[in-house]
Amino acid sequence: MSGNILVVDDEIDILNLIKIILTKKGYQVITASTLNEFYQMIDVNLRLILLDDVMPVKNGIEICRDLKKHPETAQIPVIIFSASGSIGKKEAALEAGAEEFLVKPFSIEKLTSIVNKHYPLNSRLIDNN
Amino acid sequence: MRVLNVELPLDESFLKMEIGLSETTRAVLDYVQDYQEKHLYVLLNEESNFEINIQEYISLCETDEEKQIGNEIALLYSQLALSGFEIIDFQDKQNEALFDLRDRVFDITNLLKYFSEHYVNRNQTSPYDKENMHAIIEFTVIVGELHAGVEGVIAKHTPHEVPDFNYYSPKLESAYSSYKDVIGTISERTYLNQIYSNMKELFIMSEELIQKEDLLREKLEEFEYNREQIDLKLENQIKKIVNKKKELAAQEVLASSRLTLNTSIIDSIFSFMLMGGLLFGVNLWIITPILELEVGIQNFASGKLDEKIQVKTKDEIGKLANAFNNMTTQIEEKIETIMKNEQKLEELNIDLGNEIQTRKEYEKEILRVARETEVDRLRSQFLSTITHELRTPLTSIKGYIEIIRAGWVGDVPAEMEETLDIIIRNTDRLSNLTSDLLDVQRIESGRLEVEIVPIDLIEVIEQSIREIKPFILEKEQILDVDIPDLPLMVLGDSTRISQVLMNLLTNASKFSEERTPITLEAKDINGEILVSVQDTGIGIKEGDHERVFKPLAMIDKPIYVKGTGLGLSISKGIIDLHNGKIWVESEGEWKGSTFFLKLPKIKVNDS
Repeated sequence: MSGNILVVDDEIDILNLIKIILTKKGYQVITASTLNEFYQMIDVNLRLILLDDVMPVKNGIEICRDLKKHPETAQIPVIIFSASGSIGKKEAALEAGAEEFLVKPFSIEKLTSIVNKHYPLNSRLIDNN
Repeated sequence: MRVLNVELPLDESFLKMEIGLSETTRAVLDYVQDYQEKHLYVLLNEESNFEINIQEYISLCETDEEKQIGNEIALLYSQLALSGFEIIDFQDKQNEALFDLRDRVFDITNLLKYFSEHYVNRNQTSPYDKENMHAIIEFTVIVGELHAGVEGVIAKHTPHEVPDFNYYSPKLESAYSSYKDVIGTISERTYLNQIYSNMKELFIMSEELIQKEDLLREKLEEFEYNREQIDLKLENQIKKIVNKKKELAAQEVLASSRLTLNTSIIDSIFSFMLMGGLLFGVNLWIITPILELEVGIQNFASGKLDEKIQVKTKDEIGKLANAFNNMTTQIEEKIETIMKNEQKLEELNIDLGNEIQTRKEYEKEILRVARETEVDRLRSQFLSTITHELRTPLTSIKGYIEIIRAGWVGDVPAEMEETLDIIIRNTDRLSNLTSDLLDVQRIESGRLEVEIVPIDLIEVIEQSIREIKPFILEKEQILDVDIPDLPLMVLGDSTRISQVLMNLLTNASKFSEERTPITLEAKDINGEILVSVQDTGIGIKEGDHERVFKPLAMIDKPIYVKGTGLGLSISKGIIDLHNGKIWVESEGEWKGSTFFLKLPKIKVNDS
């Protein structure tokens, strides 16, 4: 099953929330709630990856680091979202290579604007054609 | 007594008498020693012999005087013999008394045995039960010791060594008195009393025995004295006779022995001189050095190591003295070294003590810091967990409500819109609360981080104004803004400064009544930016001006205002991190308040 945006979070509700929002906006979204699922879903054709920072086994920041290490996945933009708004967390996320850092709870508006920034809707239309 | 070989029957008499006297004494003393009957017969024999001999002597006497003395001797002797018999008799009686004593002890032992058996049976106890059988055991011990003592005396023939009953008497008394109150049956009482009275009699008997013994001693002394008198008398007589004969014989002998007498004197003188010389030599060469050696050793023993022995001779003693002196010198030096080392050791000890002290303090400090660090770590971990756990569900709630509100799950009638807005607002409120709590914690533990970058304060202010508008409008309040047109650059964290401004503005709105004005001003004064928010609300009471900035201050307010009271403390924390100042001026309750913010300005580079 191919998609354009991958969202990874162990909280199913949030996973779903983001999926609903982004799907409504016109994106195609795939989700992973465990590390194994993530490894199954990972694809070089992904256009955007959203990661929750707190997850069992490996957290978002570590996954981001891994993604950025591999040349095939390095250029996929990563957005890390977190319940912690601390500067330290933000810095860690950016250092790990994430393009954006989003603080929970976020509004629909905020989420869509950030996603749009890295994966403009227009280009999506081009993809799907 | 050297009797010259002069044939006289008198000599023989005297000899016989002397021997007889000696034998008489011997017999009496022997009897007192071993109580053997044969000594008695010896005494009897000697008595009769002496009488014969003295009569013989008297008959041989030439002068009346001599005869007189002879009679005296005879009388004295018969008296002596008589006293000898008395002594023997006395000794017999003593022996009897001793055996009586032994029998009495034996009786008591038996009584004690009966009593003990009786008591043990009645009380169902054991003879070895120390507590119950205490007195009986005490008695048994005393009686046993007495028995042994008495038997010993009998065996050794030493009646004066009977056990000291004074020693046993108090023990007996205490044992008896401790017991007599405990004894139960009549037969037991009887036994006990018999034992007790027997033991008392035993003591009396033994005392008598000892007294009699002393008496015997006296008698023996008297006997001895009398014997001596007779001896003297005999000797005198003999001497007189002998002298007479000596004079006669001496004259004869003297002539022939003169020479030998002289030479012996010369010999004596010569040998005396020799002896003297020898003694002197020994003293000088042997004794004196040895004495000095002794003194030296004594000095050494008493610690006077510096007084050396004066070596005068080269012989063995001299060598010994030298060796001794060397030894003392070496020992002296060694003692010095030891003392120095001891001192060093003491100093090291003190240093060590100090070192240990310091280390201990370090340890304490390290532990304290470690603990604090651990506590800190746990706290921040807790905070992260809490924030995550609170915010995650809030994210869901807010998100889904927004989805509904946006009409993506179905049409939303107007009333529902409002309801949903309320829900969203409240999730925001919760969200803000968690943020505030987190901020307060961070400020308290000094962990609040701010991103200090050059920012345009004017922009931040304008943003805040936009955000506060809905609140103001709700209460129909008016916001007057007086800010310069030019940028005001400061070093700060825009999010946080915004937070502070929002806090001041929302407070101004919350604590004022409807339709009242709120004034926001920003001024550039001498390189410092002064921002103020003024309201005409409930004001600050006297004394509360500083307290309002403390977390959860909960100042008494005339009206109920929702909020946790954390906002100002967070604002203060943020402004402190910016090296700025925040304070309030108010003339009192219901006189309104003006909150001031001061931040240092930075120069803008013209680029």
